[in-house]
Amino acid sequence: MKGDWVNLPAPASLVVGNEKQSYSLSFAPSPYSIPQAFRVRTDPGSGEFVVDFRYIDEGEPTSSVAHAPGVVVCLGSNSKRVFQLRLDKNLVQNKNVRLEIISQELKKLEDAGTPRFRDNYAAANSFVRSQPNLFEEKVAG
Amino acid sequence: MLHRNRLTFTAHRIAKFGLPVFTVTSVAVAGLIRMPAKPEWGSSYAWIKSAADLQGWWLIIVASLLAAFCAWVQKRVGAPETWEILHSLLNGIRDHVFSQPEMPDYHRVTLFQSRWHKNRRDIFGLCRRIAGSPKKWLVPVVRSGHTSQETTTCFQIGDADAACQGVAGQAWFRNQMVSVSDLPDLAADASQTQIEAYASRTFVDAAKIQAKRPHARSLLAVPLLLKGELWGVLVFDSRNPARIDGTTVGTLFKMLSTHLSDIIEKIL
Repeated sequence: MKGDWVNLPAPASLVVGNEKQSYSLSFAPSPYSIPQAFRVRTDPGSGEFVVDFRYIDEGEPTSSVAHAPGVVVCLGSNSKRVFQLRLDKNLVQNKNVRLEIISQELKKLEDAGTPRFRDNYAAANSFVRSQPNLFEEKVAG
Repeated sequence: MLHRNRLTFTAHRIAKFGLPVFTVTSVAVAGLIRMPAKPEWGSSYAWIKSAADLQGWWLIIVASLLAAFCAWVQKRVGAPETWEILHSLLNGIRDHVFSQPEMPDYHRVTLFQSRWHKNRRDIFGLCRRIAGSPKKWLVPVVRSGHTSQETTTCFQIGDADAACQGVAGQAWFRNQMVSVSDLPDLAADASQTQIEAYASRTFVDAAKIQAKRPHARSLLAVPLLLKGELWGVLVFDSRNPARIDGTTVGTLFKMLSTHLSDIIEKIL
């Protein structure tokens, strides 16, 4: 099954930082760290469950890493942004747990990653979690 | 000093002229060497042919090297027209983010590139590059508007938080948008306390602030990626103390990031 790209705005909760009374200093995720769109699909060949993320820039080489049993993560070679998550078909027989597995894997990446890349994993997770219905629709469709 | 100046543009023009000249020379000499001797074509041809046979290979090597050098200079310096496009793009970005420019260069947008060398006189830049030192500089390459184009303000960056100077350095280190507003007005009669407050809020040494007395009252820095690699930082500054709208900047980046990357790849 080939899924369509879903464009979503960055959730407001992503803005992190501190506001002080005397002056204002704030930190927010870079526009490059926030996925511009994602899509959910099933690989017709392997039957794997695939989530793709797209960013505002293009052309970065990627490399695949076996992240956990049955889970392969495709990260940007330079930015370490998550471009793709591939879940083994046996892992996602029950479609209710698919979103949970993906979210957990993104959380693991966020916890293990250096501060410079955490925004990306948090954004991707928030992105997916903010649209559970759409996500399930795409899976079911 | 910003990258756009008369010297670099003259170098580009010379290289643009030299590349076809040297390429044609090397091809013509190679052709002459392969041509058979033709006594019926006269003494001039015979003289040129013998000169090509004797010294032609050296000429081909030298002309090819010069052609390669010209191509390198053209790529390194970048076409003036492309620089103008980049400058216009920064002006457009400034006018979009700051809706009402109140006076010339009241608001500015400056593109900084991360480099090992601070300027042309920084002889240790090459050593740092060879050694793979994490200590680099954010060097201004293009600025919107037409004033303060001769700026030499650079910000040191490195592996540690404390090694990264300025709002630009912090954006580079954190890979995040950093925004500071409501900065003190550093007029001529500004107190030492105000200068120190400005320095601490903008992550710069107080001595530097004391010496330069910047006019900016609000700043916003966005890290710039090229093929996923941190390439530099785009800095917005304004004399207005109100916070610069990060959401507008983020939306603008969504539209222009590919265009910006394409132009930068052509000239830097």
